Amino acid sequence: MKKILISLIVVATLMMTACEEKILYLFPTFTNYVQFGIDQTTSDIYELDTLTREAINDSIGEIKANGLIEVIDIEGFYLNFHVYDDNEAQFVEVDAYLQDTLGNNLAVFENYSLDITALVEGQNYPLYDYLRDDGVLELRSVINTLANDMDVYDRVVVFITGTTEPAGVRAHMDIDMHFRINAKVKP
Amino acid sequence: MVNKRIVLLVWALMTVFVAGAQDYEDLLSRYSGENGNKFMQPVADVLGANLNSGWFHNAYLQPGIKPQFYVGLTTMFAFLPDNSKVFTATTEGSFFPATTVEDVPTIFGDNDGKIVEGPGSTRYYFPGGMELNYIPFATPQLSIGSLFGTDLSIRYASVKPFVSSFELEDVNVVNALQLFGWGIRHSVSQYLGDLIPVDLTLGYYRTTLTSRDYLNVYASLISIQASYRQSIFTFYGGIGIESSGTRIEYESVTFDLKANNSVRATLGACINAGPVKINAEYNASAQSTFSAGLGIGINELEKQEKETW
Repeated sequence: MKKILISLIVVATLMMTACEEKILYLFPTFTNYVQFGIDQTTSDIYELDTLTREAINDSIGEIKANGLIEVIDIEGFYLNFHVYDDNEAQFVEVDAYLQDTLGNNLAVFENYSLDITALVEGQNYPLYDYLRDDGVLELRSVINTLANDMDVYDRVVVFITGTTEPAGVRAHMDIDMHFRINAKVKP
Repeated sequence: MVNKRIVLLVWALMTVFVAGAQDYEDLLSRYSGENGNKFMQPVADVLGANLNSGWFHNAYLQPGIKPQFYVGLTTMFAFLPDNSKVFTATTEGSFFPATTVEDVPTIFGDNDGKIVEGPGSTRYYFPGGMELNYIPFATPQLSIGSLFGTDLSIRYASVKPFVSSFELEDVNVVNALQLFGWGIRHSVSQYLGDLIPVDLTLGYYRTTLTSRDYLNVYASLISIQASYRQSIFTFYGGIGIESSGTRIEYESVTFDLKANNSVRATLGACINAGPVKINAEYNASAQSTFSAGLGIGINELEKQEKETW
């Protein structure tokens, strides 16, 4: 009986060592967006939208419920277009900027152009070739700051500038800039 | 009391993997399509390999109609080779351009995951794994024979009797976890007389491990087994063809995986300390395992050899 018990203890110990507690990080993602409504005949675009702390916190809050956020990064950006029936513009070129707390405009992407006549409604248009470090890093910094409950930001201003062609015709469309965020979370 | 504790321990360990599923939803949902299957593939390999291990510890079956009996606890350990801890993955989602990356952790791989740097300071995260080196498993087993050189083996275990003890009433992903396996063997050597110096048996085994619709694992094995007894030792081995599959389903996450294991070779030894049987074996396969068993066996040895014991 003693031998049996010793054997069982050895087996149990072997199994226990395989089941030591492991930290399994979670990598949740969420997507936010800003929307720019364009309706003009001047050919020049300037539209802004704000990303509120509440909007970001809503998403981060869900992640926080899963554990301790170690770091947040931005996985990627893409644009969605909705073109209205009365739009006459055939071509659009835009830049997007994020305004930091000092009022500096930091480029998120630049020189993105699209042939509206070839646009596919509902398709995501990735921005990777057009992205700029300054704006992306600032956005990442803002979100990380918010994740740490620091009340530095009340809102984040994002704006786009650009042109539509041909000049003098009505440009009527919505441009949504989506950015996907991923986080490393310790449960 | 000791036995009850051992059973509880064994089953607690068995449920660790499934119990984690709820927490891992975020992790799993990070993957879809081909990446997800590759991330989870080692789970199918490990579960299938473990379930097909430790079924026999000799190849001798009494001829005619004679009682032959074994009851014991079988434990299995699937050792995770380095190549089951990594895979080649391609970025998904909003990360562009799509990038193929080597050595991304599987669910048993490195804890830290892997980060891919993209244009404009974007970053893509491949999740880390559980950083495990082996996966244990255990099950009670009963074998009854012999009817004209044939025996039947049964494995059964269920979490249900322990649901209240572990306060699992509301943990649906685990509280119906159940294992059932059966196997049948038939002696080949009884037809061969003294032509060969070893006992030969042909066996077929089938096991399922289920937890409602969350987890469905099947494993089957057909093997030719041989054993040779020397003093208190029985040396045994076998060649088998196996298949197994694992389906994991949790809310929006589904994995349907077929194990890579197809052929296995078994080599083991059993100490016959009277009715007490202590055996250990190594199973070489795409996913290798080590198995050890402890049990009580009656009439498992040839009569004339038993008399010399």
